[in-house]
Amino acid sequence: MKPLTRLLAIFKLFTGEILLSLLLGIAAVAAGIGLLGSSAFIIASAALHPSIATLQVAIVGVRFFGISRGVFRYLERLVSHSVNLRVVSRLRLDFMRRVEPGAPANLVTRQGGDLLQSVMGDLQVLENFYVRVISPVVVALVIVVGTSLFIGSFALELGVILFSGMLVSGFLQPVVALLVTRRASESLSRANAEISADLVEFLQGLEDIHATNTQREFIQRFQGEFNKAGRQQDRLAALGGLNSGVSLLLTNLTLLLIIYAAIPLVNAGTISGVTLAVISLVTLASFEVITPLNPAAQNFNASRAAAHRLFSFGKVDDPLTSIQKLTPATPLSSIRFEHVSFSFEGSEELLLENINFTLQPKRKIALVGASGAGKTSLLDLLVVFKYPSSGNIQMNGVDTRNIDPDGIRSNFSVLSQKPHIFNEDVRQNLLLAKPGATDEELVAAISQAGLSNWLSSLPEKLDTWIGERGIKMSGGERQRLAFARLYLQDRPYILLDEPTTSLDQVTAGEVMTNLFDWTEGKGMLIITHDLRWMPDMDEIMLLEKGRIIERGSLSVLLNRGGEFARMYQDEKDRLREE
Amino acid sequence: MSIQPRLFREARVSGWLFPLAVLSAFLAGGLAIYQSHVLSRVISDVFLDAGTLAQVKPLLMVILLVVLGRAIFTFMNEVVTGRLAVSVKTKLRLQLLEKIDRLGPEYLKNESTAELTTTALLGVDALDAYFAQYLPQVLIAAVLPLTILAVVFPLDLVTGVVFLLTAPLIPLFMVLIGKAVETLTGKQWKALTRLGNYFLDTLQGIATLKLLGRSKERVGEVGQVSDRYRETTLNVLRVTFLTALVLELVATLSTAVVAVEIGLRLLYARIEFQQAFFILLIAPDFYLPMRNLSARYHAGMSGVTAAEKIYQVLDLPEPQEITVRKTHKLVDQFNRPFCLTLKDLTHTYGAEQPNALQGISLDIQSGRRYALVGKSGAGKSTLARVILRFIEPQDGQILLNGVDIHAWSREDWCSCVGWLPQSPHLFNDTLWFNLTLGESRFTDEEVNLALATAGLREMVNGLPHGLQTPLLEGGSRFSGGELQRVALARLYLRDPKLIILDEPTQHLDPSLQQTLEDSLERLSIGRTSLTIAHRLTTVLKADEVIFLQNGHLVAQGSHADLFASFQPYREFMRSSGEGT
Repeated sequence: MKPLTRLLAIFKLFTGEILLSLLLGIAAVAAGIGLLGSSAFIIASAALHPSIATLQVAIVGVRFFGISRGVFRYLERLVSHSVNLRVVSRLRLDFMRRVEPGAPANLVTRQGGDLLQSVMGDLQVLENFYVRVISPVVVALVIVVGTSLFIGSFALELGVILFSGMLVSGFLQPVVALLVTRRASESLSRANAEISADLVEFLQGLEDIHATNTQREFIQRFQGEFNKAGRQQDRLAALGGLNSGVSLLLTNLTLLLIIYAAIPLVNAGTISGVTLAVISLVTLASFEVITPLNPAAQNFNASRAAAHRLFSFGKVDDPLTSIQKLTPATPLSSIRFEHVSFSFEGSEELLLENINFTLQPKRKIALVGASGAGKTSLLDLLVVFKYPSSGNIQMNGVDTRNIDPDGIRSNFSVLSQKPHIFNEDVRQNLLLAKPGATDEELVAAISQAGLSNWLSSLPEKLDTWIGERGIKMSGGERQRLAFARLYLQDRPYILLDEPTTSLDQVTAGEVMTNLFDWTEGKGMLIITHDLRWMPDMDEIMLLEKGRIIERGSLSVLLNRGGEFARMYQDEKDRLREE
Repeated sequence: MSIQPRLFREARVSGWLFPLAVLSAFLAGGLAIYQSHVLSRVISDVFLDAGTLAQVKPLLMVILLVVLGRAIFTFMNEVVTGRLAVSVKTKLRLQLLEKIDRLGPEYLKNESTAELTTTALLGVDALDAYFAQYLPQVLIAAVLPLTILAVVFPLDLVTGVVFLLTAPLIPLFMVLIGKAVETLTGKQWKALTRLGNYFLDTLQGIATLKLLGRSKERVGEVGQVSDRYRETTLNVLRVTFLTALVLELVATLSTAVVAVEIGLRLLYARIEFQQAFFILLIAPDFYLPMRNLSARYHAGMSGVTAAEKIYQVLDLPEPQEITVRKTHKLVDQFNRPFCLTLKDLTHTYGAEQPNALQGISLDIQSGRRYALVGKSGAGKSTLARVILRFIEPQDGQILLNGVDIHAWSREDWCSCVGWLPQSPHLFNDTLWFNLTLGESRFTDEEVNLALATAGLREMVNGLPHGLQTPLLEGGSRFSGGELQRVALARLYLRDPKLIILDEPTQHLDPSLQQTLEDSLERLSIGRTSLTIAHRLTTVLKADEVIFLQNGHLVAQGSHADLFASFQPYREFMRSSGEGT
């Protein structure tokens, strides 16, 4: 299905409310036209000094239109925003449903770039599609036809002039303007994005800039960039001004043409002088619907691109969504990697190459190696965020591709490198790990994770709002809150990705000692730089550029005197500064 | 409230742009009034005096010219306001950059100040709408209605009075309703932010949710939460939209009142048709500027919010640059055997915190290698930053060959003293840019020599675009060790006499570690160096070890001497040798 068709399908769900809002929108504009039209009628008729009775109807009309115009507009705004919010809700739910099965792998680019920013931007554009595109266009069409018919009923040629004038300025001009400004506005947004990125870099690299005494060069470079973007913005402003000027010309030319054509008709008595006055004001008032059509064209274009990007997320042929899930995976008695390799689709570079190992209950495996060696990719395969490019992973002897991923994950307690803290209170954040847990259990887990002091420092204890908009947490506190989740989950396998990076050595020691006491009997895979825990491991695998280059127990590896032994010595050589 | 006058001043000092913006808008508005006047004459002539096309043609020509004039002034207005926005924006941005530069990197260490600075710098774009749309409209809303009043009063007193009485209603109601909206959103703020962020929060945390086995449930909740968000938002909008309703009602009802009033007066021949029709034509124009202002109010206010942050940064107190009289050229001082004397250096980061440095006195002799050793928090990094002049110590003095170093500017100082931080910042640009950082004074030979010293020659020769290769693209082209050596080449290029290094603690591949050490070795030849040492091997290479504890310099000497004679040093070194 085409992206815009899919978008319209969502709007179809709210047809009733949309019709209501359109009717109100038309009524509001019509009331404005009616107000000026009937006012013109009163004044023009009064000039002929008739009896007051002939004006009565028009006077009532003026009062009615005067009040109803605002009320219609108010109601229209409420209803159309309600439609908007319904669409928001729908789009978000729809997006979530499509994206969830393949997440988080489908939310990052291959370079690890974040797609969320662009997703949020696209959603915002689409959320306003109704108010900014559909509603103005439909209202304009109805009003254009309506007023043209009304004026045409006095004299056909006048109606034709109005119809053509509005068509040109309302529909032709915005499209032309869009085509003319597209290049300039695209290069402006590129220039602005570049400036923002460079500004952020200036702040991040300020220390190096200071140390090398190059602030002048940087500021000069910025000056150049600002000027370049400024020139683009000037061009856009000029084009925008041109557009406004042409709009104004078209509106008034239409009016002039109508008057020009109407004067002979008045002289000939085909239409009355009163009609001339009414027609002029109706024409002026009806151009109100043309103004929002210029932004509507811009918006339509942006919406099409946004819909295209957004609806291509989570396509049905995603391997993670299309497979029939067969076998449950509990209890999980073994996990085997057999000749597992991994690379991104369309990339030659193997991130993991021919990995073999077995994880079982009571077995503790450490994965070490420099950053970029492929450790985190391996973890992603294990928790089925991705599937191997070749080779296979077997759980209880069954290929993971045939097992429900959620089922597999229910065996693991995972501490990822960047655990997310939700924008909720402490309790909610922990209950995610164990719904229905009592406060006592939560407090116990917090203390096991070494966060008791932090908890008691919080103003509202478990009810304290944390996360992005709540109380800020340090990296170490986040990591330990994730430890607390881990304790609450209590699952047979523990997978840890750099569990102590944000902790100082002493805290790291305490936290890990607690953990090791608790994991007796569980299977464990730990990715780490910190070689202090190696004596506890059954097997150590040293990963370099995606391949396991050394493996074995600590004593075996040290006796071999290879790369790992050197690393271990190097680690010892580091001064204990904590 | 003090923000708006300041923004207004920015507009005023930008020369002729702002007056021109207001003038063009005013002329466009004035011409519109005149157009209505001529139009009313045309209609009146044809309607009441049976004027023919030939008779009113000159008037129609006038209208055509007036319309052309309006179009030109409208065009001009947009060009000028656009330029105004660009010029103010550029100016404020440069001011911010220079301010940030004067505040220095130390200021950005604090997380919240770093955040403030980032928002201020990136928020400058929000000023576009303020200067291009809001500010000129404020003046137009003040001037144009007054002009219309001046035109209308002589024509028809009653209409003038209606206009005069209704106009103040608009700002009055806007303020009243604005207050109500504020209280309402204030009450629902927590619910609104929580519900509004639920979707993004869920997306950001989707990996965590999946690992916790909660993603499916949470996805289901997104729909419910959005519905609750919709209800809450609509409650707020119901009140917010009242502003527009009142504006609309005042404008339409006044038009209706005026129409009926002049209609009746016309009926009894107390006013001429042409005048009456003219008044009817310009009645909507009287309220239009105020309505436009209200439509742009939001854009204006987000500009003010952005400006608040900008001025907050611009108004920050700056570290004082203490300059004593200038004596000799700094390079000359460094080019002969020199002695850098630190005298009683004391520094603290805050009143409640313990001193980071406490009375440090030390001589750094040219040609020697120093290793700075101690637990984390002992003051190593602070001492390095004081010598680099990133930090001005609260107490104490640094002398170079007996002269207070404040005799030279900080800029001069940095061109002689080099700094290699633990994780140097590399810019998302070409290798060439990362080495020169935009300076044009380096030749190809110099750059190549620096690359060779850093052990990067071979690697660079293998790059498809050589020195023009983007450094960070794709993230994988350069390894951590290589990036470290790029920073080292950058340092070598500037030929510093004294180098201060913070050794990387993170583990590099052993082979890379060796190359890096070799490069560092080459860099140090013929220079004086002070290294914050994290490894025993580095300590062993130093001529002299400086041992810090809790901000105090507790021992100084060769590693062997200290290890043999100084108990706390021995303990510190032993604890590191033990492993687990």
